[in-house]
Amino acid sequence: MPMLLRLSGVNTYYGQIHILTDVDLEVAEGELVCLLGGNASGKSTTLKTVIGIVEPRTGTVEFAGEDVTGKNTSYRIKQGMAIVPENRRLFAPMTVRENLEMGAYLLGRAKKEDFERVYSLFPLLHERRNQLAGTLSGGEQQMVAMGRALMSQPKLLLMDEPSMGLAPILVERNFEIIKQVHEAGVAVLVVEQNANISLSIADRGYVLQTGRVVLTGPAKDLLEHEDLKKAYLGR
Amino acid sequence: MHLPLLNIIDTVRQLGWGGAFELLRNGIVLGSVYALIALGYTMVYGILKLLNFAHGDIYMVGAFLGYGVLSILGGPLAPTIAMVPLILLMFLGGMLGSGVLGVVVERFAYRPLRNAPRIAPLISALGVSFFLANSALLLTHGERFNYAMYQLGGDPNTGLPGPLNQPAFSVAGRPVTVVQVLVVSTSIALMIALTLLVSRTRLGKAMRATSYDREAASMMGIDTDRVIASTFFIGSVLAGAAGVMFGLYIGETYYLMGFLAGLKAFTAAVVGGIGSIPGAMVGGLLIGVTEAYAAGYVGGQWSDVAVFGILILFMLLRPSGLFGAKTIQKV
Amino acid sequence: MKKLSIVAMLGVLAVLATAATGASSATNALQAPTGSAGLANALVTCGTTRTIGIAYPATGPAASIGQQQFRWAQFFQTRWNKAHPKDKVKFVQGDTKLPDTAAALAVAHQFASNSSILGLVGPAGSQEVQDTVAVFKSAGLAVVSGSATRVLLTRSVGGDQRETPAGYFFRTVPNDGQQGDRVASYIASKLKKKRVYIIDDQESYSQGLADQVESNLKAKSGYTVGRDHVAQTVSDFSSVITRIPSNTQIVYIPWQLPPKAQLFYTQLRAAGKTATVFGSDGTFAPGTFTGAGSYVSAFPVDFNSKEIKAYRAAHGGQDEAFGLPTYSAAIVNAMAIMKACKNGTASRAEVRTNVKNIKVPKAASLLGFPVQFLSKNKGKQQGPGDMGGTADFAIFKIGAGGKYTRVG
Repeated sequence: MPMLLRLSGVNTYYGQIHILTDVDLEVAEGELVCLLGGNASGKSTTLKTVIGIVEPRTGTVEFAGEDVTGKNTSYRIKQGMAIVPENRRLFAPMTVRENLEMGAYLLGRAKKEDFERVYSLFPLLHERRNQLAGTLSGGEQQMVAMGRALMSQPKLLLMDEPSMGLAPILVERNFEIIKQVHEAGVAVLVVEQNANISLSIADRGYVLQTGRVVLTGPAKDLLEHEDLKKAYLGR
Repeated sequence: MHLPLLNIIDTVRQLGWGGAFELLRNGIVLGSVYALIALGYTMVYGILKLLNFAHGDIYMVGAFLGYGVLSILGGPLAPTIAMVPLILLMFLGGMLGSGVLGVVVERFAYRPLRNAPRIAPLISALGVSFFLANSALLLTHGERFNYAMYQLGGDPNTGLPGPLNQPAFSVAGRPVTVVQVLVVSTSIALMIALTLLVSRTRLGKAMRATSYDREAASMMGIDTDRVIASTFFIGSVLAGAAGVMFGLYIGETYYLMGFLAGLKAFTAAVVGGIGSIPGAMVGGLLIGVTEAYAAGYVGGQWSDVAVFGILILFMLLRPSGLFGAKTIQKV
Repeated sequence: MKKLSIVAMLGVLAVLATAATGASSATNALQAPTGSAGLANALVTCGTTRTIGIAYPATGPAASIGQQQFRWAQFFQTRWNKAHPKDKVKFVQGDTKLPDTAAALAVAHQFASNSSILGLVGPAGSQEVQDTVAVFKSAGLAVVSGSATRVLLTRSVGGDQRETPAGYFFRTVPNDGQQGDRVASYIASKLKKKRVYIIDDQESYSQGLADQVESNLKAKSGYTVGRDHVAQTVSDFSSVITRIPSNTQIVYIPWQLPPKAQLFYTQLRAAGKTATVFGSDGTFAPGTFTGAGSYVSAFPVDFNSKEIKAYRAAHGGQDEAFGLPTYSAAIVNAMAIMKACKNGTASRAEVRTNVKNIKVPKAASLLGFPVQFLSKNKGKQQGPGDMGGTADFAIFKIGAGGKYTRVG
């Protein structure tokens, strides 16, 4: 399958602090890849580097066959990326519908079909469409965040810790939806601490430790890997 | 200055309903001007958490540009076109000129400091304010220009009112003049337009999103630099309109006029709840009315004290202002 | 957190606003002029061009009138230098930014230590004079002001002491006491109106005049005298006007800014009130304050003299009469310096003695009276440093078309 996203030799710094060291990462079209790691492993920074909020000091970011290193976030989103940020980052004083509209911002006006697509995935959002996003429960907000990212029909969906702060049953439900979205042909890069559930739906995975990729391979293999089992799966 | 309460009660009774209405009218007209300026303060604070001290000077530039258009078109003594198109052109000149100035100021004085500590753009704003006021001083030699005379306001020799100062209607025997109606209705129209822009349009929603969470907004692909520039443009356009309005109503333009007006509009924005658009509108009216009643019932020297007194009262009792955002949880 | 940061920002704003308006919060004199005390008697070689310091508000709320003073001084300089090629003068400017005390003091120190300065025109404001005269005195310079009109500057009144040391303050403008007396007596005996309302602009010039007229009129029987105050920054007088009782016959506005007087006049008429507006010499400005039927007190300038016509022609048709006494102050200095320089050198002390004894003829002063200074108290209002003789105010009436005619 052709490569959709490729990070090569990425070294990212915050000031003098070396956050990511020589990171290589790939996501093919239609693939679901997960990026695992604990706190301060550099997972969020990796996503920020992909979407363009943070620029690597050395290394490149390629998307859809183009070198987008140095191009701003707006450009990359136009090329087909979308992100569900860590902690959702909804626009709390705006309604559910308006939040979804913001997801489709670069397309000009959000079309009826875009809303219908998202409402069919998340019928609850249709009910709550005029409610202020800040008044929803955690699980409902996660739905809004995902719906918002899907409004622009992205080629690559980036998800930053989708299980954070959610009850297990909601986490399961969310990952089912991620799987659904993936089966519809969207490439997904999920950054997570919860290795078990992410590997259960992913094609491949990477493990980050203090800014370096220490393990990579097909999801099934990673699930069986000794070190991983001890560190993340508690076995 | 002593403040005998009995004197005040006496004055209130003396002025009666007619006087009370007049003061209300004065307050609403002046308050509409303050509200328009306050809107620019509040919008910029909302989106950048910056108190744009130069905003009052943008209002001053708008007033001068209006006068400039008037002079090009013959001046207050002998304008070369009819009053209605003349006034429209004055508004256009003042509003567009101020709008452009606001964008330029943002680009060169604030944007480079976007990631600097919060105090840096504040100081830059002060610098811009002094720069604009002093440039106006140099260009005008400290002269005061008056537009509301002759063909617009009235004959300065005889005091006979011109078309703008004719009464439009009366309440309790007191007149409301054409220009007063113009100021209030134009302000209302601009405020309605702003509310519609912010709530219904794509740009307006992007402004709200960027105000709430700039990084998340850019993660949606919103070009936050452009949204911020648009916010400055709109806020400055409103200040420019306020400047032209003040020129048509009172007449006087002067290089320092932005200082006190800016301070009062800032007070209005804070009292209304900084960052809140309806807050700025209500705050402006509140400040205007307070000023009028303080001057009318207590004495001319109390108007400024009363306004700043209200500010202090709010800071002590309700610092988030009338419509202040109770912090909504970030999700 | 939000509350705290707003309050903090307001604190910053308040401090900065105070600094910007120059409120005399910290009137610490800059370090005392070292060495300028000796300059009083130091001999300066005269050469053909001598230096006069001119202290005036070039910027700030009073810039519009300060600039008028400077333009009249420049007009004087051109004419004098042409007529006296071997006794030319040049000006060193000091911006006092009235009402900024700190700026005025800075100018005073700057002039004091500038050894080439032999004479001084200004400062403009009475408060400024009081604040800076000690610095000037220690440097041997005498203040010759064209607009500082507070009575206390030249004589003690009631329990208050005279505010300047003898021999160091002169003014080429009649004082507030003289003006107040003239206005009150004109209102009482010529206009014969008894319902008067007085509004001052809170500056000391205005308050002084207002107090004077108020107490004069109240002392007479049958007079209703109301009083109010507005800040100089106000342009919207609508609520102050609402307050004026509708049966008021005269509104006295002893203000410093003629455009404000004009604004007040138009707003008063627009509010339907018919009271006559009476201004002071600060509002005397043909071309700017043109409200027909109004009165203004001013000195008896001859507006058809050739010098004033020449000034008008060179300044877009404006007389800018507020600056006229500054012209006279400049003559006083130039003549005093010319006399002191007869032997090729002069000291500030010599110049000062010459100023004290100066006699400027009526035709040269342009004020409508000759200039010479009293050395003793005269009458109830004048003291040493005031002009004696016929120096007094006249009353003008504004007629149709904004024409000023002398009526008293």
